[in-house]
Amino acid sequence: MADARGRVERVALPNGAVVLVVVDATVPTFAATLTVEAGSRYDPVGRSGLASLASSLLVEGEGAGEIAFRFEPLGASVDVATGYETTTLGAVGLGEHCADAVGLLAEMIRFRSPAVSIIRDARRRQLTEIAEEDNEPSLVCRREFFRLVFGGHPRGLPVEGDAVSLGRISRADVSEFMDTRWSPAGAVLAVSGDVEAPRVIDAACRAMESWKASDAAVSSVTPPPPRAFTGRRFVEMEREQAHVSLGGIGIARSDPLYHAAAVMDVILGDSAGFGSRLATRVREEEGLAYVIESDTAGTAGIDPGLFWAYTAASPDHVEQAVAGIVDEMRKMRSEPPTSHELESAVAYLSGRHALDRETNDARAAALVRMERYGLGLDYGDRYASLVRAVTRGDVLALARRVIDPDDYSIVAVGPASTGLFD
Amino acid sequence: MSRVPTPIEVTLPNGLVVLVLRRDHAPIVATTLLYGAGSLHEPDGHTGLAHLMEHMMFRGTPAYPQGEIDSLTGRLGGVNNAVTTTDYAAYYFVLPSEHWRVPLEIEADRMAACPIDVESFETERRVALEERKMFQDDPEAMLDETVDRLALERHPYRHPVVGLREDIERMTFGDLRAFYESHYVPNNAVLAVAGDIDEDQVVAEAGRLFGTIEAGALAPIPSHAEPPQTSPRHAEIQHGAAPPQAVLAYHTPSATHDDAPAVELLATLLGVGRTCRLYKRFVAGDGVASEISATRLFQKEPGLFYIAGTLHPGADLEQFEGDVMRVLEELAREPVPRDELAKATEQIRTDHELGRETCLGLAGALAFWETLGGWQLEREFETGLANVTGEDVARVVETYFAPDTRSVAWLTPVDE
Repeated sequence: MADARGRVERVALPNGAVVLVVVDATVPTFAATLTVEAGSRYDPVGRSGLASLASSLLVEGEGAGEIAFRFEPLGASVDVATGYETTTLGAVGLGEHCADAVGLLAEMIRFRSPAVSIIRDARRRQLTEIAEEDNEPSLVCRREFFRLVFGGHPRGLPVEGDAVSLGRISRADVSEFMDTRWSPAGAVLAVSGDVEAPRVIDAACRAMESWKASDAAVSSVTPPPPRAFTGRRFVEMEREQAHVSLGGIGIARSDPLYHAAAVMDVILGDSAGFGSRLATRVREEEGLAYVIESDTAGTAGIDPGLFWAYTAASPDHVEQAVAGIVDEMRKMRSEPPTSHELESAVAYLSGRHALDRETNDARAAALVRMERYGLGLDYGDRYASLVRAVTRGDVLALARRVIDPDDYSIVAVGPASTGLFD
Repeated sequence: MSRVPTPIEVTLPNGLVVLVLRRDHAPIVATTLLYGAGSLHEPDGHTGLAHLMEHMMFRGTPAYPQGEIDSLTGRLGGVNNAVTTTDYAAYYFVLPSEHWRVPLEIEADRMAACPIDVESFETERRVALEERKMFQDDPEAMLDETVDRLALERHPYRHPVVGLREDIERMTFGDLRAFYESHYVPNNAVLAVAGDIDEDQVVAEAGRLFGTIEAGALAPIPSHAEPPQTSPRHAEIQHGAAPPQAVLAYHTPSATHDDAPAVELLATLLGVGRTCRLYKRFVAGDGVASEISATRLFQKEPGLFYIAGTLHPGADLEQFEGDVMRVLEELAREPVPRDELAKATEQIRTDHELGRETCLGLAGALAFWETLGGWQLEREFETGLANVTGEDVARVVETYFAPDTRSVAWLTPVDE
């Protein structure tokens, strides 16, 4: 086998930022991501949506938005994404433009003092996007499930906020968030592609060396509740299908059973593999639903995520589909998976790990995760052995921790005839 | 200059085209087997047949009982799936390259004999109906369906690929069997393989595995010439509490038409990035829209070009429609400045290169262009793109975007 990829170059800057570069000259392209610890986890009480609103200013309107416009004549594009933990600026383009692009990303993240009018326009766009999501039963189901499990903690609130919380956010709130959270401390710039590593590292270091952390105090983060708020919630929406999420609190990324969770996901309900227990039963054997999945590892992060299962089915099918899910949850925690299931899941994860890193974008994102979660830059090489070390007992122990078929939270969104909680 | 890579190309005596491309950046192989079996090929009144056939192809074969195709793929550390479009059904695998033979064996087996049984058919019909309901709950999907039906009076592109509920319910086991036998034949398929493989070995193995499958009698594609549209058409649907949305559809030529590169460039000038014309006009600053797009589908036959916008609540859809037409009029009147054209060309070039980062991207593109007439057409298309002038863009706008040929669908919230 040939491998065009070089080793990962890592440079730690005095201001706390880290630069990671890996060369891959297969195709003349690059991907670069600049990640800061500025997700909705850090939204102040009553100001949910602040992290998301602030980040949207990076690519819209005057100021940072104008910087973004300098990308496009190069054929490159830049985007921003805010999640629970982080805000990430990402750029993709042809490798020859990479050094310029990392300089622009570093310039953008230091944008401050947005005009009131830009905040107003961005808030309006965000409110329309929320209105669109309010009309999507699958998204409403997801949002309400997080809210039910995590209560009023930022983990339970939508990243984009809501009409009330966005209405409270002032220009001062946005400026303070930018000053305190868009900090080089913990920032990671990761690059993968057909680039000259020394040139990109030099450009990144020069662009970021004058980026200083604010003197303002960073507010502390309250950890999420240790136990889920169990209960049930029904949201009526006149639609063809009922959407159901059920489960409870999962595990953190640092949990020793994280890789057991990845294995259990494949066996029970990974959406990528139709051969999971849930898909085999609910979709292939009973024909009740098109979408049926469960996940634990996907939401594991700094804080514990969820164990949850999701399906969408006609109101006259949904009760049987949910009964099937709960029955499979019970089996998952009553006895360990078979050796065959374990071996298959381990082989799948090992192979998939390599397949999922075929693009520059995916490799850059993987580098960021390795750095942020302290996995080590050789994590990709060690991954297969880590999942191979998972035992049937580990999967059972994990299932018994996160799955409780007699005490779970459940949200259903659908027509009045859903009848799930009658 | 186009960077489309050159594969090894072999046509087996039974008509199967095999394209093989070595890419050794990583120990990965991707295969795409593409059949000319999309919604375009469905008999009248049988929408959803091509899509349901795709579901059935995962229901097992003599050598791979139900569940085994997915299970084996997973055990080997790979993924597989399929997609049905208006023009084709494509089946793909991505695996560690040491297992390159496996997808060929599976595909040959299910091309030779997909033992469709009545019980599996009924189960998959129920699943397909659930998928149809999922679409019905999606306001954007319903808006797209509405504008397709409005703009196209005869052509099968007017039907949703997933099928209409009543057609899925009416479909018989015999319909499915007949569709399989007349479309899932080697002379209606293209196999593309890209990855860390030995090309000669792959070609030889493809010949061994597929060579014994007999060519079939292909059902002719019925002629569905769409009559010219001479006056604007309008429709309005209501769906939940969604913000107002509008889609304008115009008739544009097929992917292989001489004007296709200029139309593609137009889509980029209008709708890609934050410096494109529609974003600057409708979204930036205090614009009326939160999102806007311009989309041209690469299709075998003449189809539609869509301009779609999601407006802020309370915005005037009629005003938006008029303003979009004014943007188009300006493009017809004044040739696009050279730097704007260069930007759009560079954006497309970058996009194509990004698509070549994966083995699946390479295999998929080879198979797709081959079904349009030859994998080399992508090269011609890229060369054509590089030669498009501002005058060309103005000409295609004038030719294909006359106000009277538009079809417009609005989405408004359900009345309180």
